This record gives sequence, structure tokens and C-alpha cells, in this order.
Amino acid sequence: MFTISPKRLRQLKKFIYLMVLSLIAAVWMVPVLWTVSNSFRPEAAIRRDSAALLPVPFSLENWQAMVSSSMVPRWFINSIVVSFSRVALDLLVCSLAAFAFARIPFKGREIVFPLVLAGMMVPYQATFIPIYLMMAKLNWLNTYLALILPAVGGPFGVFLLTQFFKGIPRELEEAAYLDGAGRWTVFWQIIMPLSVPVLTTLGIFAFLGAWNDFLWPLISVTNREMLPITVGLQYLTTSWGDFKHYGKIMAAAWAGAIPVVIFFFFFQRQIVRGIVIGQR
Amino acid sequence: MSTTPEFRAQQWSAGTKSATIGQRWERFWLRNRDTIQGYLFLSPQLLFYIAFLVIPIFYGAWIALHRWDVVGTTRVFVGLSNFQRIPSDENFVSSLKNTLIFTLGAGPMSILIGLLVALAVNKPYRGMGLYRTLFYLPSVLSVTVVGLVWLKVYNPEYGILAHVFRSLGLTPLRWLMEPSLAMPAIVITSLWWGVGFPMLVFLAGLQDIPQELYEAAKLDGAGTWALFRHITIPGLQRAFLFIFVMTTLGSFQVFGQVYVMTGGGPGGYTRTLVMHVYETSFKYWQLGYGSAMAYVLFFLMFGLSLIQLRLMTSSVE
Repeated sequence: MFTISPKRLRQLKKFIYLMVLSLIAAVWMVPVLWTVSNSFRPEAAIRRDSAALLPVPFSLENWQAMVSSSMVPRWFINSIVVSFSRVALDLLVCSLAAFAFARIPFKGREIVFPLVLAGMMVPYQATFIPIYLMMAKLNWLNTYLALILPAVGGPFGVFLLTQFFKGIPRELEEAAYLDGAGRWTVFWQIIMPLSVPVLTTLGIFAFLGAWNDFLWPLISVTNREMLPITVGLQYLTTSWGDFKHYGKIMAAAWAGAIPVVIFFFFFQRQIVRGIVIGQR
Repeated sequence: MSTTPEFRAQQWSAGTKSATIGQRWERFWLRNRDTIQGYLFLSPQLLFYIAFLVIPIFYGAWIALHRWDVVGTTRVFVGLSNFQRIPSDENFVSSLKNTLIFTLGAGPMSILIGLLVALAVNKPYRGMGLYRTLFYLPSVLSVTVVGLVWLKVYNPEYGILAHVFRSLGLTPLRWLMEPSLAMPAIVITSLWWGVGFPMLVFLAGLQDIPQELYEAAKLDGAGTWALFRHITIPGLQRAFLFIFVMTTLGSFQVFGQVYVMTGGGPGGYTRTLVMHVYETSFKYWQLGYGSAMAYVLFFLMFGLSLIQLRLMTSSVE
């Protein structure tokens, strides 16, 4: 007689479960795998057989062509400059405001705080036309300023940091005030160092938002030199949209995704936590 | 006990009687120090907030009351006629319809798939983090990358889907060129792109449900379905509401996928509201009318935005 012990049965069930889950996950990854692989195959090989899921024969020619004969490197640098400036400025501006809301009993605080939070309700589709006209009047279209400034100091960041600052025990600050420290010192030397985890979380989301921003750069930048990569890639489809340039355009697309993918693998835990903070 | 600046200010002002101008200023400073410093710390944020939120809201309304044409720079006050024009604008009506179709397709599906994936990876086995990572990974990609990748996937000649169809003996579908298939294709891409978010929210919700509830119910002889129906689903109520609000708001603003993959076509079957506002404003340069429609979009979303605000601000306590 053929019998299976309960322990064996459990193991078998687990094995089948993992196999099925792996299969689904593999299917989920096919678009990524397929396009990344083809970016590493010669265009001629892609034309012969476009179904390959592995980079065989392996070649760097598409990536080299993309770097040397397109504006992708320039756009990449634009995106780096814009994204990092936006994150740095956003974190600074939000922290300063949050410190005021969390720690300074100024007149009008009970009115200003909810007003700032209400800003979360305004989608940027509702404001991009007036902001465009303002930028046009200032002659800031096609500059980094237009790409950086409008997204700085968002209400959600202020809210998140205010909550976090409120949770920091006051004893530390009181000792500093006793020693004659002012608020600026307390902010820089006590609150900010203690807030590195929440600043990291907020910074990651600000970075992803900045790097992946699409609609605003699409309208505020028309000069190709100044495009961030997310929008630049879209322009590439006019010159490399056909099948002949399949490998090159995928190399460009994934080049544009490198920073966010690196960020993702580095900061996975913070990203998960950030999403959880948003809902609890 | 307390030596906060507020307290020191009180002490100071209590101890003085008559004063010179310098002392008066000193006293004024100390008494209003909190307010002055408070606004000093707040000022950068307030500046951005006023410049890029408060002013644009009012300026946008002002623009919406004009025939505002950038190319010829005409600017004629037309009252509410931009708003009156909206109901009879066929493209507006069809783009509203398309947006609703997208929302009704993507919303429930992302809740369903997000929940299924969350349940699937919420096991005490080793390596579940890897699956979570894989399902979330597409969410960090930009809309252009996702759009370009799926343009290739859907291509009826050499796309990977076409290969799959052919190997099954079927004729490959012309996904993005067929009026009846284009929007479903956009929905599928959006699900692939965005399902990581509901998955993570559901996962967090699942991990918040006390394990004892399940154990107690199992002792009472409850089956798997009963556990799911009476413990898991009620335990995820907040997650459901949060995801519903967020995905609906997101769906109403869908733009990038459509712009990259179909440009609104074929025949306007994937033109969404934001796409229409974008085209009206930055392709045909009717900024007044575009602004009026942006306002309508804002109002359509207002109720949900209010719930979103309450959900997000009531949460972190």
C-alpha cells in the first residue's frame, strides 16, 4: 500500500504551492524579462526571432548606440539634477514647517495647519494650466526651476513629518533649551538627526515621484536639451519607434529605469513601510 | 521645571515694570517670539503653498472665465460660457465615458488581484519577500517605461503576446488598434503597473488581524471559507476603503499610459478626461476651456478627495 505521512503531505502541498506561485510570478515578470533581454541582443537577431526570453546572442551594441547617438545621457543627467534637487528642497521645506506645527505654539497654528492639509485634496491636474501660465510669464519654462519648484513643500510631507516630530520625547529638547540653545539649534541638532528614518521614507517617495513625473515636464519643457528622461523617452519613439530599433529603444527605456530600480532594491523596506504609514 | 522659550518669556515680562524703547522691543520680541519664530520656520513652505497651490486655484478659475488663447494671445472675458460649452462637447462626453470605463475596469480588478496576490504571499514560508518584491517592482517604473514595454508586448506582429497566441494556434489580436480592445489593453497594463500598491496595503491589513481570532474560530470548527468571510474580510475593511478611494482617484486622473500607448486612439476610444484637458490646452491652445474642464474634473473628484484626506489624516495617530 502506498501511504503518505501527514508531514510529507504538508511538504508536498507547500512544494506545489510554491511552484504555482513561482509560475505566476514568472509570467508577471515576462514583459520585463523579454524587453531587457532583447535590449542586449543585436537588432538583426531580434528581427529573426523576437520571442526570445534570454539575451542570446549577447551584445552591448544597442546600449552603446543608445549612449552615443541619442540624447538619453543628457536627459538622464537632467532627471538626476531635477529629482535630487526636488527631494532635498522638499525635505528641508517640509521639515521646517513641520517643526513649527509640532513644536512652536504660534498664533494661528490651529487655522493654518488644517488649511495646509486641505491642499492634499487638490489634484495637480487642477492647477497645471495656471502654473504653466505663471511659469511662462516668469520665463521659467524649459528651465530646471520649472521642473523643480512646483512640487516642493507638499502637504502630505508636512503632515507626515508633523506627526513624527510630535512623537519625539520633549526631554531631549528641554535639556538643550536649559543649556541656552535656540530653536534653530534644537531643530538642526536634535529633531533632524532623530528623524532620519521618516525623512528617508519621505525622500524615497519624493524621489520616485520626481523621477517618474510625466504630465508636468511634458508641458513645461519643449526644448529637447532640458527634458527629463521620462518624457525624453517618449520623443524617442518618433525616431526609434519602428521594429528596426526595437533593441535600442528598450535599452533607452531600461536606462531610464535604472535609478528607480536601484532605489527600489535598496529601500524596499522603507517603501513598504511608507505605504503602510499612508493607510494606518 | 519647564525652561521652554514660552516660559522664559513669561518670566521676563513679569519681572519688568517701566521700560525704555530697547526694553519694550525686547519685551515685544519675547512675548511674540513663538509667533515670529513659528512663521519664520513656516515661511518657506507657506511661500510654495501660496505660489503653487493657492494662487493657481484662483488663477485657474479666472482663466476658465476667459477665452484664453496662447498662440494669438487673445484673452476675452466670456463669463461662464466655457462651462456651458462642456455638456455639448462630444469629446468631453466621450472622454468622461472612457474614464468611467477605465475606472470601472481597473478599480475592482486591482482590488481583486491585489487581494489575491496579498493572500498568496501572506504565508509563513521562506522567500515570500521575493514574491512581494516581484509583484511590486513594476510600480516603481515610470509610465513611459511601462508604456514602451507594453507597446512591444501588444505588438500584433512581433510582440510576446502575439507569439503566445500563434503558438496556441490563434490569430494575434491587434490590441491597441481595435476600438473594443484598446481600453481593455490599457486597463491590463495599468493593473500590471499598479497592483503592487493594493497588494502592500492588503498585506499590512492582513498582518494587523490578530492571529488569535483565527485560532479561536478554528477551535469552533470554522472552515477556511468561513474564516475568510467572517474574519479576514471584516478585518480588511479599512484597507478596502483606502484602496477603493485611492484607485478611483488615480483612475480619474489616468493619462500617461494612454498618451504613450495610444495617444487617445483608435478613434478617440481611449481618450480620457485628463487627455482631453491636455489636448485642448496644449495642442489646440484653448487654455480657458481646458481650465474649465480641469475644474469640472476637480469637482468630480471632490467627494472622494475629502474621504481620502480624512483617511490619511485620521490614520497616523
